[in-house]
Amino acid sequence: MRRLLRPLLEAIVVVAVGLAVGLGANAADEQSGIALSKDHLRRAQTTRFPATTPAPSPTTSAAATPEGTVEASAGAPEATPAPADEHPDSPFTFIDHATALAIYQGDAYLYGEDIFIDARDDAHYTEGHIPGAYQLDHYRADRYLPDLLPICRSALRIVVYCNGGSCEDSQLAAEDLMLEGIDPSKILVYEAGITEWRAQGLPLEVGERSSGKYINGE
Amino acid sequence: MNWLRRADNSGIPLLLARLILGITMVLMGWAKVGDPVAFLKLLDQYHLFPPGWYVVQNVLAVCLPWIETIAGVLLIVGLFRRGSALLFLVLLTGFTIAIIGRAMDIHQEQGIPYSQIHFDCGCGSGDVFVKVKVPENIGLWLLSWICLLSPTRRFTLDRVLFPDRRRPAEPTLDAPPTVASEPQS
Repeated sequence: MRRLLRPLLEAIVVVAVGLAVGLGANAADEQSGIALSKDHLRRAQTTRFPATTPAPSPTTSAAATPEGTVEASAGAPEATPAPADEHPDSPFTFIDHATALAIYQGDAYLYGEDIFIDARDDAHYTEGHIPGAYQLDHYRADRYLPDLLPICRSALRIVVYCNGGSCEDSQLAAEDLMLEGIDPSKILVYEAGITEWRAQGLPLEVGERSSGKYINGE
Repeated sequence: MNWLRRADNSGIPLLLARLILGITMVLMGWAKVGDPVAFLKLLDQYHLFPPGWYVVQNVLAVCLPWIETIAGVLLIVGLFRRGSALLFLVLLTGFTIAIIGRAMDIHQEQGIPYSQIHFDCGCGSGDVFVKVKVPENIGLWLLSWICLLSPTRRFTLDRVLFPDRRRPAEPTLDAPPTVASEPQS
């Protein structure tokens, strides 16, 4: 037993030092630190909301053709929801790439009535985001919400995206907005996300929002 | 088994075990230090904690990579060597059981043969096949036992910083000790 006591004490010291360094580094690192008292992931997995009506349409915008090209239209592009059984309990409307592109190219986006929100972290956002998109990193939401909420309240439609695929950050960010009182019926989740946007060769804005620096996707 | 004792007394097996295990754990820990969110998501896939334990999961996501890194560095330099080895023994046991459990879940849910199952285990080495990761972990686990049990203090900072005057002189290869092994403090 005595043979085990010293290694055990040493292990406890190492764990204590690791905890102290980890917690200290997390508190000191504003860039990548996370709030420890927040349930970052559970809501996306377990929360269930009653289904709501699709997003309202703005008065002026553009419509997407089945081929994904965009035509000017007097009416607005209807949000094309994903198949209902994929997100039966979500309060948000899930849209495909063509619809997201139509919103991006519509007048309402130009005039700030529709907005895009990038739900990824700083490193990915500055690497390239949809031009004009705001940022809402769900894991550090407190940094962004004070400035973002007034914009969201006045927006007609809010398109939230992340990497796409299995990425849940866009839904988590959408839930953040809803919990802050934003009407969920005007929140659209662009499921394919930046991966599809980039794959289509569409423009990306690098650096800060409105930095004026653009690159094209693949 | 005299040859084994002679080899161990040389300090070389322990040094190799410390370096392999320490460097591996430092690399894997450091890879996760900078992105606690990514590690948190990977941890969450194992469903280790009941609902409501998110603070524990957050702390683990933030601190576990640091604990791995610090223990790995200590093992490399030979300070708190047995404590670090004991820690890795416990961690590797937990990691391996968790990986096998997740592989079994995937096998049951998707019917994928075990040999084809691969995922990002959160180990710091990205997407890996379970058939590779589990033997790798068992290898590291065995190295942890060597680091924990080897009586020699050769090539360790422990020996320099905390010389134990009660201990007899370190046995040499030419003159193996007559006593069974170094006394444990």
